[in-house]
Amino acid sequence: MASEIIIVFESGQDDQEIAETTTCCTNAQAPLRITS
Amino acid sequence: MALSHYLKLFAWPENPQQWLAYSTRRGAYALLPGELVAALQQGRAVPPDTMALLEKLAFVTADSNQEREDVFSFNQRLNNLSTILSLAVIVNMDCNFQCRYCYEGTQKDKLYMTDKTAEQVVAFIRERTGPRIKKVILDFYGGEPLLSGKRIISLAAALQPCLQEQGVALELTLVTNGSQLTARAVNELLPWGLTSCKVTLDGPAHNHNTFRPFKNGAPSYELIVRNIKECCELTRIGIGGNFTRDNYHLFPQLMDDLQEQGLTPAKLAMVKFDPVQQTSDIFADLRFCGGCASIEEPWLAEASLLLREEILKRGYHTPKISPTTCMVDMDNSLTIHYDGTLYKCVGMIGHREYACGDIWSGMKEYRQQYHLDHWRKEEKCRECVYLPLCFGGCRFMAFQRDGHMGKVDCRKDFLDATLEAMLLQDVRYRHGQAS
Repeated sequence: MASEIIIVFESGQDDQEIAETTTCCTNAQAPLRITS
Repeated sequence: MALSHYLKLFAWPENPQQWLAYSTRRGAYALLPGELVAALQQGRAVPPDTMALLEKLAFVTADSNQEREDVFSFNQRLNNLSTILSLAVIVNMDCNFQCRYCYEGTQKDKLYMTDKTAEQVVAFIRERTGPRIKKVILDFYGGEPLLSGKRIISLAAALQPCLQEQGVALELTLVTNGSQLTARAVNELLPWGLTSCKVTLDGPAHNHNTFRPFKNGAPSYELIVRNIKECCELTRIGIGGNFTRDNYHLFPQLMDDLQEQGLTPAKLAMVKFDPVQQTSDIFADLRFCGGCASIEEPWLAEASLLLREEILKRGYHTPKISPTTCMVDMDNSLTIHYDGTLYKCVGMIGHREYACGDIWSGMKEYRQQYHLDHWRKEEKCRECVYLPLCFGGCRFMAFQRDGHMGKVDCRKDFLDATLEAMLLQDVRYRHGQAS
């Protein structure tokens, strides 16, 4: 069971990266938060 | 090591021996062998290098209680880490459009930021640019912000030298209807730090022109597309669009038209469509009743998935599924109204009971006003696997629903209905894997 049998599509973001993305409300229609 | 509480596992459609794993905590996703998932579920040994990878992806945790505490204090930690001062600046409340659903409704008038207010906006921003701040982002709104092009430039011109002196970058972004977005306007703003513009197109021409005409009723679609073509190589342009239950199926035609007109994925930074929100507050135009009043409306899941599929299928960029922050929760994120009043959400401008200070006297305490951490009171939120993606949802939506922000805007049903399908879309279109 070696790690190469795991296929990583996205490794995601750490807290620092999330902290430096803009907030969700850059759309005047208050969008669905997860897709903003 | 135990499986994370914030892990979703979905059976992989192509092979029942594999699982698609997604961390709501980190936004990571990967394909795991069934044998590995079984070993983790049963607490059997897993090779150290495999475990290290799973831990990096936040699929497993050494301490489940600590993991939960870390998620509960997520926003606090982000506030400690953030180096950005992010301000939405409403430069006017005037608009040359008459959009049928505008959330600013009857508030719009020939109201513009004055010189005196602008001078204090600069002083307020300078005061808030402490040693930890590395970048100031000014996101210009209106009304229509490009009706105040000179004001935007004067604000940036007053700020840029002192920020530069402190080693702080200045970025300008615009949310614009696109009617004034000419190469000249963009070229004037570029030296002051313009990095991107978001332009709204509500589907193909006939639908867009019905929902977003000029004030005199004239169509706006053709002019906006022409302007985007003129500016898309000067600055990053993202396309937003607001759909209803009755017209979302028309939006793929918009993308076909954009492609035919040369606005290919390489020319646009982003495409993303959102539902028109049904407002019911004191400023709402009661003649409009086709909006979405709750994320729990079942048609919304179908519409969101269909449109995301159509966007990705054509190769356009659209945001990934990952935790994002809300202005309300971020200490360094504010809305400055044209008159200098401060709010914690662009949707709340004009609602005086949600004003939290002004640029002269500074920010007031707003914890209770905006019901910070309201999700903590709800057991369903504390236990929810989606907590990092939601944190109680959109307060503006809750306000429109209840007239206050005290209750959460639960996204669980929506995420149950869409997350797996959205991940499979991403795997297929972003990573070229059949699923």
